[in-house]
Amino acid sequence: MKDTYISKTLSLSFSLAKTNFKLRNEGSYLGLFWYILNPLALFLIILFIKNEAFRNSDIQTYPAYLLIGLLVFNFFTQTLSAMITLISSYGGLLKSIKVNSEAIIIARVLQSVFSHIFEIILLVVVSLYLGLPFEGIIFYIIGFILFIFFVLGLSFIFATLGLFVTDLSNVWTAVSQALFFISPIFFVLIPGTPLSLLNSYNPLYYFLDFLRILFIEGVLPDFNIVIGVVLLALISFTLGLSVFNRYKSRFAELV
Amino acid sequence: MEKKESKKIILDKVSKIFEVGYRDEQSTLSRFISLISGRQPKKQRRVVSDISLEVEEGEMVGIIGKNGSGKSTLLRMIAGIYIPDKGTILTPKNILYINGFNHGIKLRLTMRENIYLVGSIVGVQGLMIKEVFEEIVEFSGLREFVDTKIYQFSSGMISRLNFSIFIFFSTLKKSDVLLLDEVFGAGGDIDFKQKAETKMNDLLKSGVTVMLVSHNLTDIQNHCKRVILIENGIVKVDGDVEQVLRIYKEDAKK
Repeated sequence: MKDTYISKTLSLSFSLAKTNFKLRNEGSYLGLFWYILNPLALFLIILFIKNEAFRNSDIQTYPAYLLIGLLVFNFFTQTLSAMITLISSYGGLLKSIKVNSEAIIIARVLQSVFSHIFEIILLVVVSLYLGLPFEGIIFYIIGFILFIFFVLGLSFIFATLGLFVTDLSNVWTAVSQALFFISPIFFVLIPGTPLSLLNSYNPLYYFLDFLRILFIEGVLPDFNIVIGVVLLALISFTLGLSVFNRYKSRFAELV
Repeated sequence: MEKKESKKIILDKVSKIFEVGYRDEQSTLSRFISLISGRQPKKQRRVVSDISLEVEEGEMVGIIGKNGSGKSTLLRMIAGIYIPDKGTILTPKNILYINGFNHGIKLRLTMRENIYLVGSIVGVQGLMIKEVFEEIVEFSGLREFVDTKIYQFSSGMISRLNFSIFIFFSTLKKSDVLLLDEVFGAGGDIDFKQKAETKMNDLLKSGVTVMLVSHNLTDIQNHCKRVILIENGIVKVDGDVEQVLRIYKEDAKK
């Protein structure tokens, strides 16, 4: 690789992500298990109460449906909420050296990707338990890359916005809670209801649908859905990068 | 905004304005609003004001001035960390700005991990880090602690490590320009101080252009022929070291 801006940024991103990953596990007794324990706990609780609470028993693959929902949702909200204060937390560094600030954002997203790799172990277990097609996991991983680009684009926007608007973290807490109940994470949408109409404006819904079909059925979803998610990822990524590029030269002054 | 390149450092009427919070005679209503929103009234402050100067290739220039006079802001603009609000800056391509010695050392990582981390932050690629890794460890004299976490280091050990990391990466980077902001005084014991000074002199004499901000006038005298005195964001005097230091000292007495 030549010493281009992109290769430099990526290599810095990897080092920063590696460092943060190490720092997160440093001194923790259960270490890497925490990555699995958190979503696993929620998964088991919902699975336990679901027969009493809602009527989803008609899908046999519900555990897989639920687990994908939880993992994708967690990846989405946790990564974005970390973005809001990310640039300020690198203030000292930004002020004292000229760094490719994109790397800070990419590193944080990569850190989430690392944790997701551990969560995939859970997916494999569920897949084996339910006897799902094995290629589903591989399809899922490929599909997830699109989702990463979607989140990365939004991350650039959140990181920039978070520097100007401190209130964003409070807003995001409320929005992500609403998203958890609006998006079909633990329940199945019934077509034609107001809720499903609302979800047609929810980008997260398309990715959930896309990734679930890939994983559970092990087939490529409808052409519309594929085009939809590719477009979402593309728009988010280009828009995010252009917003970030517009303001990044002022970051050092604002932190 | 892309900066144009040039062998010299050329600043032409460069200004930088910051918005700073301040307290004003406010009405009850506006005070209430700023309390609720957490926003303060802002006032513009010209930190660097219409500075024009040139630094020749290989020249070593000292910059002195009181706290808040705009020295660091000036260097940060030359380094490209801040973008000037007015004026243009022409510089060579590879510039290294060093502010203190601490470039993101993480206390909960080991010395080895930190060397690699700082290396990638200052833009040295993995393989090249390997090349200087041994030298850094050797120079710092901390070989037995390579895999010890930094929080267990004494402060003297940390400053030795910081200096060693800085000096070897700066040398390796082969920058055209070094902008040194308060980096003298390596810390550590007397043996290490001497070693550090020799190494620093080697770096400064390697033909690189240097701009040096320091409150230690002896350091300035030892290294620079030309000194610029900055006051309230403008160049007050720019000239021979003895002359400028004399004016600076006289000002301080007033």
